[in-house]
Amino acid sequence: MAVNYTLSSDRELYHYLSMPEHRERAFEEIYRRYGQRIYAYCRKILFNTQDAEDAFQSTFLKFLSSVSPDREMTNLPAYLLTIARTTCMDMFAQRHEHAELVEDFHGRPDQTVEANEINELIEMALHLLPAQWREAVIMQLYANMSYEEIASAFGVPVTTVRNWLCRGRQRLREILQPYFEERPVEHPE
Amino acid sequence: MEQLSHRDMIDLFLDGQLPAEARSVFFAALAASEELQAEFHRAVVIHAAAHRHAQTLQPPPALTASILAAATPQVPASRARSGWLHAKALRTIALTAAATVIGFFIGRLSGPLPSTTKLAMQSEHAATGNAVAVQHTTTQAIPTSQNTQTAHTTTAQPKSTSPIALGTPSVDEDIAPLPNDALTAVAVMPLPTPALPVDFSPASPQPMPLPVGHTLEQHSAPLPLPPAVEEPEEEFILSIRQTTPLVLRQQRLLSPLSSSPLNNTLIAAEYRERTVSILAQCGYEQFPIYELTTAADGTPQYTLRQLLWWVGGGMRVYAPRAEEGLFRTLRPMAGIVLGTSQYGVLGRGEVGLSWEVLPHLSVQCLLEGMVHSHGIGTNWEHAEKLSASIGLAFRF
Repeated sequence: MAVNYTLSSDRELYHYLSMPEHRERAFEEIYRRYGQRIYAYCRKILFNTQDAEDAFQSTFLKFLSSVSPDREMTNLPAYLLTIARTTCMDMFAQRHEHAELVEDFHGRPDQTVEANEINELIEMALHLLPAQWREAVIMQLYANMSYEEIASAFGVPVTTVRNWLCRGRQRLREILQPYFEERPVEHPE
Repeated sequence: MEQLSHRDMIDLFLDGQLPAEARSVFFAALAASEELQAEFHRAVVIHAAAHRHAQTLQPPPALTASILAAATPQVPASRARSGWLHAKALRTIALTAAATVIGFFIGRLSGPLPSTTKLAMQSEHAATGNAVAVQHTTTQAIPTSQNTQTAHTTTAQPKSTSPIALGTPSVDEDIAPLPNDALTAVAVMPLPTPALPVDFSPASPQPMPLPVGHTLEQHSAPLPLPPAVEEPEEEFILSIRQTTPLVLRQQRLLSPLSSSPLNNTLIAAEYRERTVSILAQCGYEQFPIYELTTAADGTPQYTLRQLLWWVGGGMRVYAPRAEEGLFRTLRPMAGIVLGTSQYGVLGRGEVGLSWEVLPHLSVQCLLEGMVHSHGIGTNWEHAEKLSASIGLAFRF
């Protein structure tokens, strides 16, 4: 019987990964669902495009390597995020952090100057947050992870994540307050 | 439920996590406080900007393709062959070996001794007029009426070593292109007798006036030779180069470029005999390859290996040195190296330039391609790397 991978749950897709006939398509679907979010997380955590791509590729290869038919996958995005987080931390430890921080501050050429400006300011403000707050905020804002997924990746209660996120984003706003005071408040689209 | 501050409520509301019973409290506070409204607006702007920016962060298509390729079915283990007998490794070795042999024969058959070497040998005889004759034969390709007249005059001295007197070829001979070994051929030829009659009669045209301050003897003295380009028969060359990867590719995985290109160093010791050399080379390179192994349950295991140590041997072919012009010191070169690393075997091809800036020092700029075949157990893969390098070579 033909399998509709798009309609399959994460748990089913993970199960298919252990079957050679379904492996390729199931992996494609998982990648389609979570690839962009994991990539955004790697980019924001590592600040360097090449390191981020290394980590991103390693994340999915490790994920593939770890597939086991005995494992019951309950939270696939959190599982992927955990692998990505470990990979990024390893890479962070291997490389000299200070030498890699500046690349993405130049922004992307396809964005407007104003969008670049606010994004760069946010990115710089993120650097000033405590590590756990920063990571949680990046997971939530850029990787679009839920509180539960972030809590699972960190191995902490959801209330702790909620606290980190509230404190982190409040601190972010405080840091960026001078920027907002310089220009009138604009409502987002 | 724990007590939430109004500021906390902003974030929870934006995340859709604010409990229904707290919403009315939040809205009331928001309506009453301008400060809270301003903070809410800031939160919305940051939230929206971050989400918009996140949408622009898409993995490159090539990276996506390579990751998806990792899930493609593996070659059955029963078909895989291990170690040195693996077909891919053998193919790599065979290709590079064939290129080495071809390069060797190209180098050996690249022609007779370069004329520069002969010119250097001739310089020992520079005191004779013959060498001077070489100079003028080559520099005065097209005779004019003036130098023809001068020939009339100066050939009045039969023993004169004047180049003009010696070199009296016909016009056809003179404008004909010189053969490769023309210098040598002219140098060993018997000197021709003057072809034109000598006429000192007053009616004959006046000889060309000599430049002020020059006597006839000075004018007919042997001209100084340009410094001869000496190419040693054999040289020992020690070089060190720094490479920067341009493209890296694994058989089924595209690995992004290393972000630390300075960790790529090559050292080579080379023995050159004229235009062909043999060399031993070792390298320390960032070469992010993934070693693929298969777990007991059949799932592939990828292990990232970043650093590659390798040693190898090969050969290089240099273009013969030109006698003058740019390529007198700038010599194209090409080479090939076979080697082994801690993970497998490799073949390298390189092409570039060696700029001999000083008698014992060259600058080398090369474009290098490398194929590395690696693996553990029954699974072998290969990776390719294209890089550019620059370095110094010390010639002894």
